[in-house]
Amino acid sequence: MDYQKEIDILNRRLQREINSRKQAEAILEQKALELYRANDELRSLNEGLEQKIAERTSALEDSELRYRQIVENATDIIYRADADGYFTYANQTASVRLGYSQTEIIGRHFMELVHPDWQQHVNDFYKKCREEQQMSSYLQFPILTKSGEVIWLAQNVQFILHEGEIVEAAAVARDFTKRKLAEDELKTTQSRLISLIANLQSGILVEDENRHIVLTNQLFCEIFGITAPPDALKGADCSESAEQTKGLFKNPEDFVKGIGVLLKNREIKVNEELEMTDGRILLRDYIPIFAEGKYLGHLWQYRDVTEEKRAEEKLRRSEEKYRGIIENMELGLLEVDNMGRIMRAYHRFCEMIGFNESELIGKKANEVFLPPEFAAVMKQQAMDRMRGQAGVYEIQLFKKDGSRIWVMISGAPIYNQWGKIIGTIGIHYDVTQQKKLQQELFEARLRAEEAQEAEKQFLANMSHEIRTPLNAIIGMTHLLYDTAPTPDQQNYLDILKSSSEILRALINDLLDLSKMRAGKLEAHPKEFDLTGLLRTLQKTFQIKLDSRPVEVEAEIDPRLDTLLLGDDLLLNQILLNLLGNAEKFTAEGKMGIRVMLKSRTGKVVTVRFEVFDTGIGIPPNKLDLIFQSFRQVDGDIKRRYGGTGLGLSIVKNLVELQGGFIQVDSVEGQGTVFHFELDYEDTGIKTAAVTEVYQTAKADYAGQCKVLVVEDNSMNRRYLSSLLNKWNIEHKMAVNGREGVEMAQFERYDLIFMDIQMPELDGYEASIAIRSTANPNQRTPIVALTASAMLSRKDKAYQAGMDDYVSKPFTPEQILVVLEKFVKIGAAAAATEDFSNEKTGIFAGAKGLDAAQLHDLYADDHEYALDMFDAFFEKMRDEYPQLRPLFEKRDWAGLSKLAHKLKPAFPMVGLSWLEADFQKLETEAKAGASEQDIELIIKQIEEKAAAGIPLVKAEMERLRQ
Amino acid sequence: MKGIVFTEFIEMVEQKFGYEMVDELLTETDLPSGGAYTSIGTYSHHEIVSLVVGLSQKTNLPLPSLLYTFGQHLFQTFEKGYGQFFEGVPNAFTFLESIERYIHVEVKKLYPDAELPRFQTKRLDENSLEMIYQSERSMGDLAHGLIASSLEHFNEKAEIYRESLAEGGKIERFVITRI
Repeated sequence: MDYQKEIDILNRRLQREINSRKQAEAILEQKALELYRANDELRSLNEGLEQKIAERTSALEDSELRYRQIVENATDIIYRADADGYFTYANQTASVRLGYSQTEIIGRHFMELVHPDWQQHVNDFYKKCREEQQMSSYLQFPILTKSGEVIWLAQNVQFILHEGEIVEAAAVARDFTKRKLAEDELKTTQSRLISLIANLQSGILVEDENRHIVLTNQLFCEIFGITAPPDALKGADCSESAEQTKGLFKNPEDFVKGIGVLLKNREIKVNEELEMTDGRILLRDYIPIFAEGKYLGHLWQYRDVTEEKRAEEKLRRSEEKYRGIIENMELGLLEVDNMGRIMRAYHRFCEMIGFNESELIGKKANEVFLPPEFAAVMKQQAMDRMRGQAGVYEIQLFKKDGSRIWVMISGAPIYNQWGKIIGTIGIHYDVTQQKKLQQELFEARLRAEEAQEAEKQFLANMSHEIRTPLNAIIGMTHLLYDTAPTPDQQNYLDILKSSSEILRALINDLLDLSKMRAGKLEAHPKEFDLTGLLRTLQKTFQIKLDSRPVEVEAEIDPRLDTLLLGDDLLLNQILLNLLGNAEKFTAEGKMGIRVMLKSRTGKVVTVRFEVFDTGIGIPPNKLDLIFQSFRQVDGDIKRRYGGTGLGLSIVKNLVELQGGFIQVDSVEGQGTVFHFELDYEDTGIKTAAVTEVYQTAKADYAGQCKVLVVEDNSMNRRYLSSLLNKWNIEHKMAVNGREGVEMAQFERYDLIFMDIQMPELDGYEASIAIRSTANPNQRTPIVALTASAMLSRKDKAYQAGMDDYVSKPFTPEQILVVLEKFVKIGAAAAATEDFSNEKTGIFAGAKGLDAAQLHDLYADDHEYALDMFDAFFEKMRDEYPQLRPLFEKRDWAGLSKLAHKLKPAFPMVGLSWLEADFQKLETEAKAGASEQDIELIIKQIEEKAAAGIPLVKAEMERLRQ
Repeated sequence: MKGIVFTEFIEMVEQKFGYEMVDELLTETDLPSGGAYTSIGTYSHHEIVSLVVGLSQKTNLPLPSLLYTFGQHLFQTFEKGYGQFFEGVPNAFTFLESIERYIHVEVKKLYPDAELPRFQTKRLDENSLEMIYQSERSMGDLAHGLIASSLEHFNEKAEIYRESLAEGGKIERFVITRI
């Protein structure tokens, strides 16, 4: 190889290596320089870095603090939420507004706070925002606070992005609840007003100040025949409307002119009546609208009142029609207002009362017409009217001339169209004439009644006046029989006796009849011995018919052997009458009574009575007549047999009074049977052996009893006295009630006969006095002697404390029956005496006190009795004196209580009779009796106590010894 | 183009053909840089093209073959000088995948002005890797040599299928299938 070439190559290679090295060196030098500069920069950069970081951190902190303060103090709710909607931050305002603390809010989902009704809406809204990447949004919705309050929020939300994703939402929400409520209210009011106007029963047109339509409704369009809908009219110009519509009105020019005037004056005008050509009637209101003094337009209101007007007119005509009818019926109409002032007086009323209508209008009706004594009636009627009640009443009214008329008024309230009472209409009918008749009728009736009463009184008095002397006549006749008369005298006595008995029968019949007519007769059921009654009757008639060939029979059902409950007096009278009748018409043969037990239902027995005779009989054609008053079979009978013709009529009445029905069977010339049935209650008590009443008439009771007779009539005194002498009964006579009471104070009697009608003190009063004062006869039986058999008088006798009565004129037998009934004479009397001594024991000597009572209480225990007497006097000292003061104070309740307390004390010391008085005081005071009544009772108590207390003291002394 | 490519090319020519060849090439080829290269410098890529074409003419060796060989040479250079790129890499596929994602990223850090080809990789299945070369320089053969050497380095045998996806060799598709 060419060395030179090789050297050249090596040289070039070397040169290339050198060039390469130089290149590399240059590059490295440059890189080193770059590195140095970079280092330099880096160093200075490091030096400033800390300072910068410090500055920036400080600036950032300032800024954040500023923002945080702004956020915290903002009046709006500010919060942040993460991408899923959970709160990550909320400011103070949020806490205050929502009621949750800030810690309670954080972590909560914002949807929890949204009002449940709005959650869907809110959720949809924000979902859409996210989907459409709408980074900021605004929404209004309500939320619920912790306390449940609803708050409306207006909320701005800003989404915050990071690398294209929504990572957070920042929201500012403002509470606009108040505004929302105000808006809602405004909306409601507005819609209400709009619907109100739309539905108003009036046509409404509201125009602005330039007469452009603001508002109208359907009815307005209908009234004016406008076919366009109301909304379409809004904004239309109305300045020509009057001209355009005037054709609809009867007076078109007036209509146009009227509108012009209204618009010019701008003053409210209501209820203008407009007549339309088609007959309709409208009422128009014009109301200008001002706001703060500025005229803003006006409102027209039209109401179609055609129907009302027609109805009013119809009503008016109808009313006039009926008023006319009433006026023609002679009924006077008067209308007054609620104050009683006359509004209208119709023609007929004016005629009735004598005034002109013009004189009456506006005056008070009561002041013009009303007599003062009717003011109360009128006041009551006026009150009824105000309550809407009608009424009919009769009063007197003054006429113009001062005279009075009687009117019957039918009053009724007047109503206006709204149903309010505005007055009263009275329809007056003149009843003066009727009233006069009525008064006359009333007076006539009064006179008739008085006359009737007088007649009754007369009858009662007459019966007394006649019976008393008659009684003496009959009594004396009986006594004369005992004076050994000559046969002639005997004959006269017979005539005297029969005549006086006829007279007595007549009077008795008349009395019975008058009693029945007065309805004063009634059945008084009591236990009685039917068999005994029948036997007595049989004996009576046997004695009567002693001399005649007539046999008296009494056939009695042996099953009737118990005491029955019924009125034996009435039965006795019936049978007596029928037997008397039989006796009268039976010359020979037999007569009598048949009594059968017809049936028995439980305790009730039905008894059939038959009274038969073999007398003259009754012709069949007269059978109907015999029970009528004052009717006898014929005049001949009356002449031959006498009698009043009242007997059978009385019998019939008495039977019917007891629930029976009397019938008669008769064969002329053969005899007659009267029969009837009566019901009695069976007591089941067996009757004792029949008492031979007539035997006792010849009794001798020497020394067995003592009787007091109180009788003012000397003849009756003599009669009774001779009867009692005849029976050897010891007796004393008092000539009037006062003397009777006095004599009762001194001596004990076994029976007192007491006349009723006496001077000084009558029988009732005397009996009451004996029963209610301390005396030895307080419990002695008292039998009334009365000429007056009136039922009421009998009751009065029982009430006065009497035990029985004997009707005048009485027979010796009747007196004897009474004596036997009340005085245990004969063997029994002695036993009674013994028993009496036994019963009173150590108290037998207790003067004027209830010895039996004392004995019952204390037997013979002196000590016990004395203790009780002491206790009694304590009570008398402490409590009894309060009686008067309580009465003075009118303290009835207190009196009643005190009486109740004192009541049991008096029987304890033998003043038993005061117990009843205290009982009476207690009851009456409790019942609030009159002052006089109570004073009377207290007076009686005081009198009796004053009389009784010395007796009690005396007895105490006696007991001590 | 980075200086290392030139210096390694000169190195390879000297190794294969002797420095005389190097001298001829550098002397006869028109090179604006004067033919003096340093690995840290940067030179126009036209010069490498001129050098490779000149070598092909002088040696009568085809251009692709030269570039393939140059690829193999470069791999060896890298293997020696840049061992850190192989540390922890288990196989060829992983290495080839790391060129684009790792090695080129590191080169760019040092030489922000470096113009590097792109290597997109995709595993077709467990034993197949698709690798798409893309460069204005159209040096697919060089890439081919690099791939082959990579397989050799990891002692892996594979078939390399190659197709051109664009005119002028600007985009080449390799499918490497392990046997």
